[in-house]
Amino acid sequence: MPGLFDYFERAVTGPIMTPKDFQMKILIPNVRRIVKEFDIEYDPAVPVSGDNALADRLFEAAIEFLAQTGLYCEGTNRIIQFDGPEIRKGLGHYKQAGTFGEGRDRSVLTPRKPEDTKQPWCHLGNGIVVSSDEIAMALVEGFASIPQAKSVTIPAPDTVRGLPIMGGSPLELYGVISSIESARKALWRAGRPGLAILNLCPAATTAAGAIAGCHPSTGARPSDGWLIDYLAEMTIDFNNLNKLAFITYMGGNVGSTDLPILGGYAGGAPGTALVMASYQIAGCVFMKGDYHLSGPVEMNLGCSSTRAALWVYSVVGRAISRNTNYCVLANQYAMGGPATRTYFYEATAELLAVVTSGFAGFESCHPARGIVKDGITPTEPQFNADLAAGIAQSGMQADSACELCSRLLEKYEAQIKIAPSEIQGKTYPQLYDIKTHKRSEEYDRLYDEVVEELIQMGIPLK
Amino acid sequence: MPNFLDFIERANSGPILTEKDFNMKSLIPNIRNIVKEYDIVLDKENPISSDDAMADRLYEAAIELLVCTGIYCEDTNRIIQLDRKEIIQSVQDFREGAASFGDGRDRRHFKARQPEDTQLPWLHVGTGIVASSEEIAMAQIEGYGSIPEANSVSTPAFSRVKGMPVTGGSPLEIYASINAVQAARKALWRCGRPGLPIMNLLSSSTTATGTIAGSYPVFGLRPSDGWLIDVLAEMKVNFETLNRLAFIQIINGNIGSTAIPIIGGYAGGAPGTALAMTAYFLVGLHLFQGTYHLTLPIHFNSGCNSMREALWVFAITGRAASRNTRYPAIALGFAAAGPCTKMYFYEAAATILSQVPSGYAGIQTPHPAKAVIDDAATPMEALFTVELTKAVTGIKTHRANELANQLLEKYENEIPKAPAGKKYQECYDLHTRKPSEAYRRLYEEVKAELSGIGIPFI
Repeated sequence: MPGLFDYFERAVTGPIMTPKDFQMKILIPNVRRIVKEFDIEYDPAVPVSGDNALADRLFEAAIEFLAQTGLYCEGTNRIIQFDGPEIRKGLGHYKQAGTFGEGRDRSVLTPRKPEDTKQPWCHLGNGIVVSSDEIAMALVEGFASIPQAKSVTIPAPDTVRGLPIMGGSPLELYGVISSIESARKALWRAGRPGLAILNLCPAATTAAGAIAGCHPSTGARPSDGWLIDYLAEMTIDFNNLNKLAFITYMGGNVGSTDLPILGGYAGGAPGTALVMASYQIAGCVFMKGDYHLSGPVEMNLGCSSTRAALWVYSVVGRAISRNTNYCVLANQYAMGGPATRTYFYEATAELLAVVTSGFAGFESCHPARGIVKDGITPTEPQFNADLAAGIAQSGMQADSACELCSRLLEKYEAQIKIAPSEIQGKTYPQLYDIKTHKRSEEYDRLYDEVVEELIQMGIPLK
Repeated sequence: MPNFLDFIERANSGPILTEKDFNMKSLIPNIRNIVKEYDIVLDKENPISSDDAMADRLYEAAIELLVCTGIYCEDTNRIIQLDRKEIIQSVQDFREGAASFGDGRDRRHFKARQPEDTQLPWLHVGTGIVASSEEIAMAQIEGYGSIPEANSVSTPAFSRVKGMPVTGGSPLEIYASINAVQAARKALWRCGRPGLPIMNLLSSSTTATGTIAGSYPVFGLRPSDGWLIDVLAEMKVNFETLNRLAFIQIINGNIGSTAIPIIGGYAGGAPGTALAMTAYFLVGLHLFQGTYHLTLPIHFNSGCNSMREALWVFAITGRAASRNTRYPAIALGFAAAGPCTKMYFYEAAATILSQVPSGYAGIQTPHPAKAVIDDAATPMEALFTVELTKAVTGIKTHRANELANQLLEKYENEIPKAPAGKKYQECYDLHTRKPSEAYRRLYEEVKAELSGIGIPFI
C-alpha cells in the first residue's frame, strides 16, 4: 500500500495539465458519466433516503470516480492518481477508532450504521469568527459545559491587539496561538481540560500558521484534531499537503474535510453526493485520516439545510457507513442565526438526515451560515446535542426522518430564500450576559417555545 | 520600548512606497550621503583596519542610516520606521551574557569580545552547505562534533529526499527539514556531544512553514539551539522572515539575526557595505531582539569575501560593533577555493585574521568553494578554523594586517580562477570518517607554511 510519501511522489510525477483542463476535460465529464452509469438519482419528494441499494451504488461509483479522476495538485499542476484495488485495500486498512482527548475526557470515535441507536459523537461549537478573546473564552466554556460534548470546535479571532489579522503575516501566528491558549484556558475553567479540540487551527489560513499552532507550548496536543481541506472540487494545494505532512509526522490526529458545492463543478445533488463520498474515501486512503468532517453547501444560499442537501447527507452517510468504518462527522450550516425559529427548524432537519444515515458524529449546525461575527451561543450546540441523543435513542428509521423533514421543510424552505439579514439572528453579546455567561430571558422564552413546538411535531427531543 | 508586535504594527502602518522607490529614492541616496558625511573611507593598503575613530563614526553612521531609512517590508510595501532613542536604548538594555546555548556539559554562555581581546572567540564549526545524502551529512556533523573546542555546529542542508529534489514550499521541504534535524541530532550523540547546539536552523528550509515544522520539539530541536533569521539585502524583510521571527520568539528559542550585505550591490562599495553591515547588527539587536548575530559581506561578482575590500569590511564593522555594543556576533568567511586546496587555507586564514582582532565574539568555519558545491565541506576546514583562531587570539591588529597582506599576495589574483577542490567523499573515507593521506599531508604542509610567515600555531 502506498504511504503518504508515495502520494507526494505522485503529486510531482503524475499527469500534468492546467486547472481548467482538469475541470473541463476530466472532472465534469467524469461526474456526469459516472452519475448516469451508476444510476444515482435524486427524488426531491424524498429528502432523506433510506435506499440501501442506491447507497451501495453510490459507494461503488465513488471508488470508480476517484480511480478515474484522481486529485489535482494545484502546487504542481499534476494529478495524484489512485487505482481501484488500492482504494479498497486502503479502506480495509483503516483502524476503526480514532482516539481523542486526555484524561477522563479521552474518548474513542467509533463508526455507526444507518438507523443505529448508538449515540453519535457530539462535536460542539463552531469555528466562527469572534470579536474578542473574552467572547471566545465564554463560548468555549459554554460548549465544554455541555455534558454530551466529546470534543469542541473553537472560534477564530479576527484581530490581535486591535490589528486585523492578515493571512500569511506574523499576526496570523499570533492569532492562531492566542486562540488555542484561550481555548485551553476556557476548557479548564469549564472543568474539562482534557477535552479535544478538533478544528485546529481555526485562525490559520496558511500551513505556517497551522503548524506554528501545533507547538506544545501553545497547548495543542497530538490527541486534538487537525482539519486538512480539499479544495472544491477534487483539488488539493501545497498549503494543505504541508499541513498533512506535518501532522502525520508529529503523530497528530488528521481530520480530512471537504465542503462540496451543490450547484458547482459537481452539478446537482447526485454529482455532489458522488464527490462528497469520494472525498471521504480519499480522506481515509490518501490522507490516512483519523476522522472526516463533511457536508455539502448550496452554492447560492451558502447553507446545507435545503431539500437537496438533506438528500446528499442521507445518501452519502448511508453509502459510507454501510461500506466502510471510516468515521465521518457531518458538518452542517443553517441559514437562520441564533435566536431565530428558522435555525432550530433547519438544524433539526439536518440532524434527522445525519443521525439516521449512519454518520459517526456531527458538528453542531453553524448558525447564520457561519459568517456572522459572534453569531453563535452555547444554546445552539446544546440543542444539537439533545436532539441527536433523542433521535439516536429512538432508533428512528429513515422513512420517519424523511416525513419529519418534509414537514420541517414546509416551515423554513421558503424562508431561507429571503434576504439572510432578516433571519441571521443575534450575536452572543446580544443574547448572553458576557460576565455571568447567562442566557437572556428573551432567548429562554423563544427556546422553550421552539422545543415545545418540535416535541409536538413528534421530534424525539429530550 | 517597542516590542515585536509594535514593529509589526509599523509594518502595517508605516509610509508606503514601491520597492523600486525605496531602493532608488531612499536606500541608495541615504547610503551615499551618510558614507560621505561620516567620512567612511576604504584603505586598500591596510585591509585590516585598526582605526578606532573611524569605527566609532561607522557605528554612529549606522544608527543614522537606520533612522533615515528604516526597514522595508516587502509584503506590505511599507517602511518599519526606527527611532534613534529606541535603538540606543536597545543597545544599552542588551543583557550581556544572557545568550546561552547547548545542553548539559555542552551548555555555554556566548560572550561579547572587544578588539584585540585575548578571550578565545566562540567556535562555531561546520557549514550549511548542501549534502547529497544523509550519510554524508551525518559523517560531516560527526566530524564537526568531534572537535573538542567546538562550541556549536552548523549542519548541512538536504537537497533531496528519497531521490526526489526538494521543492521549496512543498511537503518535501517539511520532510527534508525534519530529516535534517533528526540526522544532525543522531550524529551529535554518536560523537558523544548530544548537548552541542545547532546554530544555523533550519538549513533545509526555504520557507517559514519548513522552519516552523522542523522546530517541533519531538524531532530533536531545543530552545537552546539557534535559529537564523535573515534581513534581506538590503534593509528589507518579508513575511517569511517575520513569521519565523514571531514563531521563534513565541517558543523562546535563541534568535540569530543574520544578513549578507552585497559588496557592489545596492550598498555600493566597501564603505557602503560596511555601513549596511553595521546597521544590520542594530536591526538584529533592536527589531529582531536577537540573542546573537551572524554576519558576512559577499562580493557581488565573485561570491566570496576573501578579497581585500571584504577583509576591510569585516575588520571595520567588527570593530565598530564590538566597541559600541555587547551584541555577540559570529563572523563567517566565504572562500573562493574548495576543500583540499592550499588556496582555501590562505583565504580562510586571511578572513579569520580580519575577524579575530576586530572584536567578533565568534568565528565560523569559512565556507569552501563559495558554499555552492554540494558535499564540498569536510571537518578538516573546521579543524583549521579552530586551530588558527586559537593561534591568533590576542594578536594585534597591525600584525594581523601584515599577515593578511602576505596571504593576499598568495591568492588575490587567483580568486576568479579558484580551484573548486574536492568533495567530502573524495577526500574522506565515508565509513571510517578519516581524511585521505593526501589531504592530511596538504594540511600539514599549509600549517608549516603559515607558521613560516609568522602565524603562531599552538
